[in-house]
Amino acid sequence: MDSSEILKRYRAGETQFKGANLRNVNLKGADLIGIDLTSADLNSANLVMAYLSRGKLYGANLFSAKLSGANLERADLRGANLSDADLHGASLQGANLSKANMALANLLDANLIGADLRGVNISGACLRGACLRGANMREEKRAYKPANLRGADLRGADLRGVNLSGADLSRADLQGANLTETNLRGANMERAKMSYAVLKGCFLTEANLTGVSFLEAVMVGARMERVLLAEADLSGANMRGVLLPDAKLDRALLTGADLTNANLNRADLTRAIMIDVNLTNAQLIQAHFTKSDLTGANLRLANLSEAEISTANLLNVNLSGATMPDGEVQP
Amino acid sequence: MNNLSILDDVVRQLELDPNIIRIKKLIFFTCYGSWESNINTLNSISTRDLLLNLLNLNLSLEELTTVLNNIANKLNKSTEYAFIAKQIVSQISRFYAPEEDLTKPLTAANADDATQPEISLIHQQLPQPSNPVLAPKLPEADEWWDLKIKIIQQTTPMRAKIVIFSALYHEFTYSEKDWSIIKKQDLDDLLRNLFYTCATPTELEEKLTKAAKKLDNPSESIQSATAIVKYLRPCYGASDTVSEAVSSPVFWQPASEESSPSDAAMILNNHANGSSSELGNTSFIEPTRSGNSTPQTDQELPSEPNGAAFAPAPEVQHISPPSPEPTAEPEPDTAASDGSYSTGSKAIAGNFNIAAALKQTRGLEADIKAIVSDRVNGVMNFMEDTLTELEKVLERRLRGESVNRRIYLKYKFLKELIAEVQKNADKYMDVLSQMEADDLQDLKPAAPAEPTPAVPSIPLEEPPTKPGELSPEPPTKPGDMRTEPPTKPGEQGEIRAAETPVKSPDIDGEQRAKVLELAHQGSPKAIAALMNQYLKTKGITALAIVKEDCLHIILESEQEPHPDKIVHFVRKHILELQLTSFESVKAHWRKLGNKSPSWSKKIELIPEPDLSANPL
Repeated sequence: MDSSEILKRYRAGETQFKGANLRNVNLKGADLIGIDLTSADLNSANLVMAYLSRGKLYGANLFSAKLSGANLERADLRGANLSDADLHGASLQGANLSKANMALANLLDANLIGADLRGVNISGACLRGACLRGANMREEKRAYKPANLRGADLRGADLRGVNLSGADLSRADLQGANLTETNLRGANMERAKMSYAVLKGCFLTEANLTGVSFLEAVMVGARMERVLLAEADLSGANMRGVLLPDAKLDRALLTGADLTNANLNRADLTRAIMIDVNLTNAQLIQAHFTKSDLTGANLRLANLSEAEISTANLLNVNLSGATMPDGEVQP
Repeated sequence: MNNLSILDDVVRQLELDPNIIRIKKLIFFTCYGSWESNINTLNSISTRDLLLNLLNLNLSLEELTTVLNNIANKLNKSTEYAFIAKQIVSQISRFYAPEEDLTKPLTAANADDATQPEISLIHQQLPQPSNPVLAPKLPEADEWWDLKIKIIQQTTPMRAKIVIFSALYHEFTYSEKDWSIIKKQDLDDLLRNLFYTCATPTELEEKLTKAAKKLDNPSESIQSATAIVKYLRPCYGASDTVSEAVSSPVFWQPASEESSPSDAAMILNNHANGSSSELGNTSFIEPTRSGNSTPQTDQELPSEPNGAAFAPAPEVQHISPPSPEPTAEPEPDTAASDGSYSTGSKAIAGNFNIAAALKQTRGLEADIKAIVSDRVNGVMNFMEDTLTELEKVLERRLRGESVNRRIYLKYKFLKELIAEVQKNADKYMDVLSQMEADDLQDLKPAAPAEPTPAVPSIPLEEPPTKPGELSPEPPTKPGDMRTEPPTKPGEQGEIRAAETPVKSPDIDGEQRAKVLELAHQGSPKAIAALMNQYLKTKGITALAIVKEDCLHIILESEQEPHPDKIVHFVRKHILELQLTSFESVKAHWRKLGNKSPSWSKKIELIPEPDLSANPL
């Protein structure tokens, strides 16, 4: 079918185009609101600035389709193939993209507010500046595989309140992204980049953050129980009030980090570099500081009961008011 | 090299740069959204602080370059400022470090920029500026994120990008090239850019709606523009008044009502007061200049039917430079004035006791001194700039010559510049003396002698602080230079500071020759002075202002003269002077005491046969 035909028929009132063959069709700016293109073949179709809101594109093939600026609000794109598609600046607000394949797609500045992205594959996609506020990417055992965002570019993306539990974000670039209160429980974020990211109140319980860089990130109040942060770079990070009990921070870089009021009970800080770290009033019960470097650290009022600090470097450490491992409180 | 030492080094290098004042101005504007031309103020702001503020804006290097260039393009002397922008960028780039990103997958989307290193700003370890930016600043974190969300819920992100693109650069053409540019910039970048480029919400709205109207889908584009304005507006926030009062270098803003001395200010004030003015020509008052770009018109402009727009700027008064200015260029520097201009004058009129009056006077003189030294600085700055520029030009030009000859010629011509300026300065000095003498003759014996124009005794090298430079001030009268004479308001109308006429037939030959010469060169004050010699005997006073290549002659008298006759007279005079510097000439008349003219006539400059011997 060519563009003029489909437009003619659509304007005449027809909306049923299930399974239509529209490869390479040029429907730039076309008004196709509510159209039914279930399982249609739109490979490389040009739908730039087109209007497809509430459209049915279940299982449609949109491989390499050009959808820049297209309006796909509340469209049904379940299981659709959008890999390599160009959705630059498109609006997918409230769309259902569960189990869709968006690998390597371009979603630069896209609007995915409240979209259903469960089981979606967005590996390698560009989501720079995209807004995913409130989107649902939750892993649901037996129903939806964990969302795949491996290597995705999420710089400056807005992921506030998104449910990414169990998601695979390894090597994803989340620099400057906003992850305030995002749910990343058990997420795999190995080697991801999180510099300058905002992680206020973020849920990172049991997340794998090995080797991640959190340079200048804001993590105030983040919940990171049992988190894996081995070799992570947390220099200068703002981690006030962070919950890190049982966290693994071996060889982590915490130079200049602010961990005032943080909870690091039972944390493993073996060989961690904590020069000038601020641990004022921190809870460090049973924490391991084996061979860690605490030069110049501020441990005022910290609670080090039963902590292991015998092999730590405590040069110039401020321990006034701190509770030492033997229970004695320093003056 | 850690950041602190880079900072110190950059500061040091910038301060050694001869263009440091301009550099500071540009950075100041970038950070605060308003133009500061007061040298003293600029000197009192530490370069370090300015730099820190600039860095604190948290722009990427690319954004910063764009912003600085955008601003530079809008200034008069845009080429010079473009150069300044480059210098700033090259120094600032030392604070940025490239970050090779080799793990990022090469998707079709980022294949273009896969080769560009990611530039990130390492600004940790940098101290906070002691004077953090007060003017409009982008909200941090949550508000900014929310703003974006709100915008994209009203319009597709792409539509928003296209509108902003069109407002900032050029109408989006949907060409390959434009697509690739818009792809490289995040909506975030564009919003920031837009915010920095538009100093006020008004400008923001203007730019966006203008651009939106021209786009392919105007209704959607306008909707998009509206959303952007709506949500970006609060960012200008409380600083709205700040940025509008402390205006950017827009030259066509009049002095506010308070500043009574300046006459043109009065005329312009009329307009501000909404009185119907016959000054129909928009060129008279228009804030925006078409060709010679001025920086933003940032005032909330009361809408005037003919689009002429400006608003009373209670805190700052800018005075418009006439175009055919013998020596000055309309650079932001010379046009600046400060609020203290009016305060002194207003205070004097009234029933004060002696002590208070004395105190006022002293304070007044101090004020005036400051104002004047301001101007002097402005002029000196300009002189230095000119000298530097000329030197560069000469060096280039004389490159082929032998060293000795080069030195000889270069200094010869630089000195010549100064000598010419000196000569002209002397002439102005003479004119001033003459005008003063004339004014004094007109006064009643009782009135105290007016203080001489507060021109400090300056070495002759300095260019004139008065007519030459201050012709930026529309009133071409000696009145501006002084304060309101300490007379009661009820006193005879003769003494209106701004309009004290030149005594009619008593200009002696030599003086007259000088005035004539200045008039030939197009000095409005001189032109008016000459006319007034005759007009005064008829009870008419002339005042001349130049605005955008148009010479306006404002005539004032008790009784209305015959329009044709007086216009003829004016015309004759203008023709006699053989002025070429004006595109058009207009005559206006108003009844003595009124603020707005009753009629205006355009004067044809093509010579007509002389109508009569005695036009009046």
